[in-house]
Formats: sequence, C-alpha cells, structure tokens
Amino acid sequence: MPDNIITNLLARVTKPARYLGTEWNAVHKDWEENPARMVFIYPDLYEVGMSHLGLAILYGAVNEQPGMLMERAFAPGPDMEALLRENRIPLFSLESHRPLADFDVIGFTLQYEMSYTTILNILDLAGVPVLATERGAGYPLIIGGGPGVANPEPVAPFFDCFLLGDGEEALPEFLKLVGQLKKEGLWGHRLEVLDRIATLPGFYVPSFYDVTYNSDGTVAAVVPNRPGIPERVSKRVLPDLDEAYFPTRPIVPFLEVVHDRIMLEVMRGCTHGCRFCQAGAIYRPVRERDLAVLLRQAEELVRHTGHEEISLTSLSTADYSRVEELARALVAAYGDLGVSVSLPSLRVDAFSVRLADAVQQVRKSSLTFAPEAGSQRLRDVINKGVTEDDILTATAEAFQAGWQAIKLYFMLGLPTEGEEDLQGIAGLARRILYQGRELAPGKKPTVTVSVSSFVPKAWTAFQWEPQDPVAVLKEKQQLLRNHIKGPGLRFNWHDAEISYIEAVLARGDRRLAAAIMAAWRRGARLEGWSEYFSYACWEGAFQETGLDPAFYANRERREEEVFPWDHLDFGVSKTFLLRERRRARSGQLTADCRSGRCTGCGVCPGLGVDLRLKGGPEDRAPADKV
Amino acid sequence: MRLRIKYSKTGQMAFLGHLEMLRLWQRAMRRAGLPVAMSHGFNPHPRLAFGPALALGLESLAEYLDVELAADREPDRVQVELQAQLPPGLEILLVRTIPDQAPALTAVIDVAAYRVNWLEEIDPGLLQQRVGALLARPEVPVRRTGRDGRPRVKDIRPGILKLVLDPSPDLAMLLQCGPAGSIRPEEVLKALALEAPARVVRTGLFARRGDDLLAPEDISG
Repeated sequence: MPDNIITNLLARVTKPARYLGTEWNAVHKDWEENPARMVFIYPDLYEVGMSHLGLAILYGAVNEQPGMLMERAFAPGPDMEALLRENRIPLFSLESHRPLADFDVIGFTLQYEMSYTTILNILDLAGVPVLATERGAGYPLIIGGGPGVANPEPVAPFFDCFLLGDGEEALPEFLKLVGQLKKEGLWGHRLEVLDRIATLPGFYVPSFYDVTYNSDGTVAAVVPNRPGIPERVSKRVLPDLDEAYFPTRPIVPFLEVVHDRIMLEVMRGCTHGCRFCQAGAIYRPVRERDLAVLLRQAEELVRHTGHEEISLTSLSTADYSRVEELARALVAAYGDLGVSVSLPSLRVDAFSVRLADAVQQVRKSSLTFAPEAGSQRLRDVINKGVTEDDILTATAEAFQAGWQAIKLYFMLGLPTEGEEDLQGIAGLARRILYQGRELAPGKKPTVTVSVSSFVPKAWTAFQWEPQDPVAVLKEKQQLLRNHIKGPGLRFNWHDAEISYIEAVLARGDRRLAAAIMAAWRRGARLEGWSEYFSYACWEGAFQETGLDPAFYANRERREEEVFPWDHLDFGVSKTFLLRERRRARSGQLTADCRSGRCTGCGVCPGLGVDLRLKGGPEDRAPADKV
Repeated sequence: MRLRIKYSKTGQMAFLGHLEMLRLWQRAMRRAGLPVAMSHGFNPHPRLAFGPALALGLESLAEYLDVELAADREPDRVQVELQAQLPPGLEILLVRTIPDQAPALTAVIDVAAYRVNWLEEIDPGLLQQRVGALLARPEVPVRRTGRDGRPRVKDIRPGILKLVLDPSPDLAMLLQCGPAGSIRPEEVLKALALEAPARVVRTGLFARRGDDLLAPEDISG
C-alpha cells in the first residue's frame, strides 16, 4: 500500500499510532526472501491485542526462523473501518502495510467468544470470503489457535484449520510446511494442502470431520470423512519451558496498551482445579521456568524494551515455587533503574499479600482477590479451596500493610447457588469493610465487589451444567445491588446478555456459525467492548437462523451426551471431569496435584508429559508415584 | 547534570502524540542506559521535560526536550547512544549541557516558526494578496472550543508575528505560543480562506528577547 494512502488515512483517525507498525522491536523481514508469510491477527483493537503474550511469543518464534515471516494486524477502530470501506481500501498488515489477502496464511487467536463477529468483519475488510467453502486456493489459508480452540466448532466453517495447544514449536513447523508446499507447487491445491497439514501433530482440519445430529438436536457423532485422518486430534504441549523459545525483544508499543509492561511468563498451567475454570484444564500440566532462566530473560527484556514494569505472569503466579526469590531478586536488580515488579494475580492468602507488599514499594492502590463464591458451601462446590478465614487473614494483612482499597471478584449463577450464597457475598464485603475500618483507623477503606456471570465452558467439570437464564442472572444482580451499598461499598456487574451469548458459543456446535454470520451482518463487532455490544443483533440472528440459544446456554447436558468437541483431546479425561462434577455436587474438595497426590485428570499419562516444578525435592512431580 | 536535546520528528512519527513521545523517550533512555534522575515522592518518574506540545499530525524540525541525569555523561556520546534507540523519523540534532537552574523550556519558549508546503499548485499572486489583506486586518477572530466544550472566539491577529511567502509560494509563519496562548498554523490557513492541501512543518521554537529570537539551545538564563 503506497505511503501517501496510509498517511492520508492516519491523518483522519483517532489514535493513528495504532497503525504505524514501526514500534521498537517490530520485525520487518524481506518479503521476497521469506516465502512462507503469515499475518497474525488479534481480533480486537490494538491496545488489547498488543497486551497478549501469545502474540509476542509466536511473532518472535516465527520471525527468528529463516524462510518465513509474520506480521501483525488488529481490528481497526470504527473510524478507520469506515474510511477503509468508504475508500475501498483492504485492511492491511502493520509492518509492510500490505493487504491481508497478500499473505499465505491469516492466523487468528481465539481468546474469547465475543471476538468471533470481529473475525468475520476482519476477513470481510480484507476482501476474503468468510466461509472456508467459498474460498478458493487463491485466498489465504485461515488458521485459528488460542483457548477458543477448546471448542472451535461454532467458528469451524470460517477456518481451514486450527492449532491445538502450545504454538511456539508447532507454528514454525506449520509455516515450514507452507514454504515446502509452495516450493513443490502444491499450494494451489487446497485439498492436498489440508491433507498435509492434518498430518502435523496438533493440527485440526474441521472440514475433514462430519458431524451428525440426533433428533433432539444434540450431536450424534463427529467422525473423520477421509482416510488417514485421526479420530481425535491431541493438543501440542511443550514438555519443558526452559528449552522453549521466549521472546526477549518484544515489540514496545507507542500507544499505551492495556498491559503496557514486560510480561515474564514464570510458568504455564495451573493445577488448583477450580471446577469452572477452562484455562486450568486446557493448559495442563503445570510447567515452571527455572529461576536462572527467568532472571536472564528479565535482564534481556529490560535492556531491549526499556519498560518501567515487569509483570510476573501465569494463571496463578503466587504458586510458582520460587516466586518470592524471583520477586525479591528483580526488585533488587531493577528498582534503582525505575523498573517495578508486579503480580497480576494474587491467591487469596496472607503469603500473596506479603509478596505484593514486598514488590510494591511505593504507590499502594488496590488489591484484588477472587473468592468467586460467597459461602463456604459454594466455594467447596467449585473447589476454590479457600476459607473465609483465608480471605479475612489476607485482607487484614493488606490493610495493615497500607492498602485501603480491596477488590473482590465473584461469579453469579454457579451451579447449586442459592440466596444464602448471594447474601454471603454481601456479608463478606461488609465484614472486610469493617475490618478495614478497624485496622486502618482514620482512613477510608473501600471494598469493591465485581460480579461476572458464570459461563459453563468445555473441558471443565461444569461443562454439563445449564447457565442461569438472563432474567435470573439479572434478579441476582439486583439482589446484590440492594445489599451491597452504603459508604465504602461499591458494586460492579457484567452485562448478563453478553454472558448469555458467551455461554451459547462456548459449548456450541457448527450450526451456530450461521448465527454468528447473521449477527455480524446485523452489525455486531468489537463485542468485547460493552459499548459496541448489541443484544438485538443476536436476537435477530437467532430468529433469522431458527437456532435456539437456550438449547446451548440453559440446557443441562446428559452425562452420556456427545459434545461437539469430543473429537479434540486436551488431555483432561471426560471420566475425570464427570467425577469432579459429582464431587462438586457433594461439596468434596479435590487437592492440587502440586502437593504430590495425582488427581487422575489424565493429562500426564495421556499426553506423555509431566509436572515441572522448580522448588526443592519436596516438590517432586507426583505423576510417577501413581 | 541537565541536558537539552533538540530533535526532529518527521514522517509517520508525526502521528505520535505527546504522551506517546514521553513514553518513547523514557524507554529509549532506559535502553540506552542513560542514568536519568528520578523525581522523589509518592510515584517517582524520570525527570524529563518537553517544550510546547506539537499538534498531532504535524512534523517538526525543531523539538526540544530537557533531561536531568543522576550522573554526568558526555553530551556527544549521549547523542550517539540515544539515537541508536530511536525509531526512524526521530533524529537527534544536538545535545547540549545547560545550567541546573536554567528555566524550563515551556517557561521561555514563546514563538514557533512554521513552514507551509502546498501539495497542489497555488497562485502566488492570489496568496500574496490574501496574506496582505489578513495582515492589514485589526482583528482576526477564529472559533475555538473551550476547555468546557463550549465554543468561544479568539482574536489571533496579535499572535501572528510574521507571515510571508518565503520561498514563494511556500508560507513562512512566526506564531505566538506558550503560556500566553498558542496560535495554530491551521487557524492561520483557515483565516486565509485557502482550501488547498498543505504540509505544515514546525521549523523552529524561540524565545523573544526584544527584537531578537533566541534558540532554546542558546538560552542559559
């Protein structure tokens, strides 16, 4: 795309820095010398997409390989979209400003269901037909990855293939194959191309599987329709993160992005086993990085980015075996350079608070905890493993250390939830507030309660459970609103309709693709932003396509029901999940396998991997004991 | 020690706003290993101070930035090491030591120079006539939006210190800027009633001393 066209566009939009592509550490590889070309798209605005660690990892892992290149694109802001459409300019990549359709491969990360309409909008802005069946070999191959592929079925008709699991090895392998196929002159033969891709471990080609349905609308079977195609596709797992690629020259955005800091990934996976949590299931097993590796990476990251903050990221950073040593070492090494250390997720315990206190030398804004449920009974149902005593000890520690604002996250509509569980949320918030007034006299403590609505997800113990109807969720929100008010108490809640659509898509099947298309045609896009979300688009879409959203969101599944994602294998066995579901019903806790007792989730033996912990000898991986 | 940095901001770097520039320089300095002094207090931040803000989308050949260092560094070396950490479109033109008590850039700079390149052909005779007429007017009211969002009218004539065709048909302007109020070049173009597309570049920032214009790198007190 000529420079003057770009400059003209930039002069007319808000936040033009979203589209420059010349950020520090951006990689501009030679187009001709690198025949396998992919554009990675995070289907949301730049500020959200550039906060995604997965993008930084894959961008670096691909671009350090010869013969292949990866550029970036994001959803354009509404003003840019209008200009592109008005002037018939196709959406372009950031680095070379080339139209997306010039690339061999367009990759989307599926981070949340509400980005699906944006994916269609981006394909449309690129001039690429949204349905795979309508794309000839002249169009780029469309691939998806990320947590959304835990159940990619609702978007399967838009994609040529998906990558399940860790991508830092698999994606360069895939692009190597793309380069080979191009060299062999086979790239124009889409069916052969997909046949070859399907031989790569972890790659799922949805068109090679036929779905049949029962008369009640549930899935009867998903079976391969070609010889040589596996009945189940297993996710890719990096056995050892110390050996894995990690980017130490990530792009430093011009604009302030959501997570505008160094992201140091201390481990992958989480074994707490919260029964609602999909990430905790699909990223198993836990693999920690070595302390020395992390310190080396941190040093390079500070030197190559100039960032003012290092965030220790993972699903539950306080669980990392060497977290305290790591945090203290980083504060000691970089504090004087004006580089701070932060912990994005705190466990609900005093240890986490002391850790946060140790790294946060200056400004103490607010501390966030996620008890998730308001009563002990319900916390046991979801296997949160946190007692009221844990919570109050943690908040007491926080008030004494000088924090005055506590934020609490809860989920509404969890299985078996009743009014006393909701009252429990309000009661806990008040107890913490009174505790703060007592422990921080003369100050004005605040307690903010944020509630989201429970969305049952694939690969969790609650994948059989119905979501509360929207009306019930709203009643529960109202009840809490009435109980959580007064000086020092604040209450936030998520849009129940958004959670409803999420629940429809999270466990949906391929038929829902029609509804996603219809919603997009009615204007749905950027739906992760509540100001752009329109429930009316979806109501119209379901009406138009004759699909019943309640069938997907509000229906309890039979235990023997075939799920739309049963032909995919993320390691966690359905038997284990069913057992967990039953234990949930009886309020039985299941211990973290970190502690040494294997819970039999099936991941380690199934995928041929092991826990990797970096603590002392007491932290031996448990799977070999079983 | 204090350093005053003069730099140009051209090409697509024109699309970086003030906050983006602040972060970009802070990070470039950290990458360059420059020992930037930190402010004391509740929320320490690097001691950087910029000259008058440049409107988003405008290029400039003369931007200024003061930085306070916790340890002494050779200005020439700083220029080389810092330049290596900057994206294309940002070029350091000079680095000079200034006295610790030298007044801040924003306190002394009160004049900005701009050059207007026409992107389409324009009749120099007509332009000269419009310029003459504008300068002859006692008042040039323009509409602005106040901080409260309400429209207000501002007379920009006293702030137009110079407006000439130089070299014709390019326009060279000297406009008042700083705490006493800043006149924007596009306001002058609007007052000239010229619709032709133009590229506007800031070419200088100065402090008025009587009839003289002093460049910020030459001010010491």
